[in-house]
Amino acid sequence: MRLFFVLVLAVVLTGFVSGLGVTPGRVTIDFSPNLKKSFEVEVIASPGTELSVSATGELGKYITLSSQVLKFREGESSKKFSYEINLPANLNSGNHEGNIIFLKKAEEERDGTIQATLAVATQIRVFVPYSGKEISSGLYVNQLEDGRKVQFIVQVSSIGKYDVASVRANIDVFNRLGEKVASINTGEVSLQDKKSRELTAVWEPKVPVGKYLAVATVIYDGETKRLEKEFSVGEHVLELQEVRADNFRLGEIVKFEMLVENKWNQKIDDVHLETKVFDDNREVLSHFKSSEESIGPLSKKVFTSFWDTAGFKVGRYKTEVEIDYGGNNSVRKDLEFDVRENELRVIGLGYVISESEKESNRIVFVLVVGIILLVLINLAWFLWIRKKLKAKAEK
Amino acid sequence: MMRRIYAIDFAIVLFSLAFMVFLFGWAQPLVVGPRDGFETTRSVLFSVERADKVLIDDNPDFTSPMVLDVRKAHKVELKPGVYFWKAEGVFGSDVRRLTIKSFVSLEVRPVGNGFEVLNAGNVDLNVLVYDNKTLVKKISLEKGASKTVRGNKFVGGMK
Repeated sequence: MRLFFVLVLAVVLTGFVSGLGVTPGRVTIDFSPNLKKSFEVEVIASPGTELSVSATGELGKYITLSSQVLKFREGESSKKFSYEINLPANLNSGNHEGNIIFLKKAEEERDGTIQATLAVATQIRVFVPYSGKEISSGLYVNQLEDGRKVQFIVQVSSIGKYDVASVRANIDVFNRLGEKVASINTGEVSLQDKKSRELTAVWEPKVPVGKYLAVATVIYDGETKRLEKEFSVGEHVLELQEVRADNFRLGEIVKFEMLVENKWNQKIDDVHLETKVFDDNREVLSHFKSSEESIGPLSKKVFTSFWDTAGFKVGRYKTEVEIDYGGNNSVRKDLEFDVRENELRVIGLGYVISESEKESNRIVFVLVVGIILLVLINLAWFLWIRKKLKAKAEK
Repeated sequence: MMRRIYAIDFAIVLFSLAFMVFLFGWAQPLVVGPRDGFETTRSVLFSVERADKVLIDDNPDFTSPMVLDVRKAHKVELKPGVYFWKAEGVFGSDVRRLTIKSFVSLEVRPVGNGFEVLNAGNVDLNVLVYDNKTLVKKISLEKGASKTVRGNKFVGGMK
């Protein structure tokens, strides 16, 4: 960890004169009357630095520092620092903050320039629960399976003095005309043993592509809370279905034919494909584009582009194919090109891993063979060999 | 003779049980790292065998996990917080916990009449800019971002 911090400083100091860091940047604790607790942070600075330390903010008066000065010896680039917080008997509900500030004073350089005064703060945040039963919540929407399913996530946290026994949510989906097109319910959870939980529900939309509004009603112990979130259905209206490079010859200019399907019920103009081929360090080795064309509604089209493979070697290359359309929209697909002398295999279309390459397939094969072998051994012994031996023994 | 038969019965049953235990034990994902309770301020490198993916979530129920395909990538950058993760192949591994610690870091260098301020940490920052003792402005710096400002004192803290 320490080596990492030193390396970070070494890299940035090649371009920057002065640097300072602290970790963690924030700690959050729950209030308890008269709570006394100690914390430790790690401060990163150049060797030989001297920092002044102070506590500020609303909770500053409750913070006791281990020292008001932090000195870095030569060769020392990180140091631990501890402080203690001594909370009062009462605080108002909500969040309260205090800061511990590490300040490096400006110094004059040999050439007469003055460095800036630099300071970093680590925060301590104390949360005081609200009276009664109270929750905080947030609504998030994810697309699953390339937009075929929509996942709604309602994050709920108990922020009141009393536990919440039961929380659930009902999510209504409205189209742009304000018409309700779906209503989904999540499961029910309790916040008694845990402070935060997630409620999830999955919807398979059978509606046209477009923008929709999710309205979640969170129901907890007789109370309700309303959340809203706008989202899109069928955002990825263009899908890359196939990539072919017939007559592939490494070292020559190769013709690519990429099949794209338009899943929307309208024509899409200005569609073109951009392909980037990367090395292991994610540096772009090659970048080529197709021509710009239109795709009719609910139809497919082949886009042609050319890749100059001069200088490339046999091997696997991470690749990105981006379908750009309608001016500033795009759909990206990460693939891998398995380049050989006279063949190109494209990995990643249709499945994240091709079925034959999954590690679990190999393990299942070994398990099945092992079990079959075991069953055969047992059958052979109990149904055949044993009977013969027993008959022989009885004679 | 019967005694010998019963002995072989026992040996075969014992061998079968032991073999099944070995087989199913072998099929479990092997999780090399990171260790349970690991803490870092940057990207995490997952080292697993006999697994296709790693699930990472901020809750141990894995209600909305991030799925890392370990055949394509073993490294992931996460925002500061506590995470739970497990490897999945034919079977799942046990759940481990890791923490991404927030790291507040500011770098400055003189540029013209002012200073270029860089957020070198892993969280977005609010930076107070002072001219001597007077607060001039408050700027936001996303992680990795820099801004040129006029002032001679900069105080950075988490947003």
